[in-house]
Amino acid sequence: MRLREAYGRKVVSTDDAEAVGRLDGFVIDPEQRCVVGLRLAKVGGDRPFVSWTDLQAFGTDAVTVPSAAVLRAASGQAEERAASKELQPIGKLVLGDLGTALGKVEDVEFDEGSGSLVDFDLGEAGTVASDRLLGLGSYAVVVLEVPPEPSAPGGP
Amino acid sequence: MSVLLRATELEGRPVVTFAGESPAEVKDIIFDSSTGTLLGLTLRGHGLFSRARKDILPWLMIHSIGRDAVMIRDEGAFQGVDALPAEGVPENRNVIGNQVLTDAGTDVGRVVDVIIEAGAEAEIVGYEVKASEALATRGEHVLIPLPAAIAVSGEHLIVPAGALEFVGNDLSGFGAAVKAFREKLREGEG
Repeated sequence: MRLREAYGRKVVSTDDAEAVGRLDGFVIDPEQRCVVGLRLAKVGGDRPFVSWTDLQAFGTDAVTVPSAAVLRAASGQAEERAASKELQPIGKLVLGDLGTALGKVEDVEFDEGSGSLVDFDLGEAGTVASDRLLGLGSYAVVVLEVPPEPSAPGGP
Repeated sequence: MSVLLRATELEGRPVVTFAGESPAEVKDIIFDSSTGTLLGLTLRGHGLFSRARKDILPWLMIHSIGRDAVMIRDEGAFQGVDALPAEGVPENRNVIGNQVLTDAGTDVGRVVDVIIEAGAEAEIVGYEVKASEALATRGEHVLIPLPAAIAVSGEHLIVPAGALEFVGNDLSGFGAAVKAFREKLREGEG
């Protein structure tokens, strides 16, 4: 699934079939190269975050959670910031670690089962596999400029 | 791998951490005026009118100088000026506008830029000079190679007369010219 189509998706709790909010921000851990949480908008109360591990499913029409009880407050300022506009990857400059701009993030493909990032779509500049990701900051997404050598299959 | 670049091109280039933050941009270069070695970069906040920062970026802490950014691992790369050897921070390190004379006394022209070879270490390998009447290319900008370890301070910058044989017009071939010139100097010594 891609980030762009996932924003705004309804989040529904399956115990009472009530919508608990809409997906408003992704919490991405660049070290794990993974979506680790979501921030919801239009949430009643002050618990707009949900951990990826507390999701029931990331479906094509809705994200489901077992109940509204899994919603929580931000775990800290770092999570608050990670979910903010400042750190959402779409539109961000992509810089290689050698200091060359590779393009801008058009979209990000992620695995809706695990939350793992698959690759960054830079439009005409191609895609960058997530195993090249070094960091995601307010200025840029930093990636290995040269793709890592694929591990040799088998050996000699 | 090393690349040649003009010192003035570095000004304003963002300094970016691996985490994707840009805490500063390049203000100026710092070189050891007695050897022509680059010691590091001075910094300022983003934007033309932002304040200079007191800390500096020592050369050894730079991961890479790229076309679009100067990359560092993290903000631990920034250090106080006292991290540099004292002789590395001359009172007036700006050589732009200074007159270049050969050791034979010919006025070559005035410095418009400094050419840096940037790799694991960095040094000043040439001047870009607005050519004087002594050169056939008067008025044009030419690149003049420098011997290794040349002093780059003073109102007059002295280059060996032999350097004029290796004058270049563009950076792409200039690395080879510097190399050829330095080899010739070494042969002269031997």
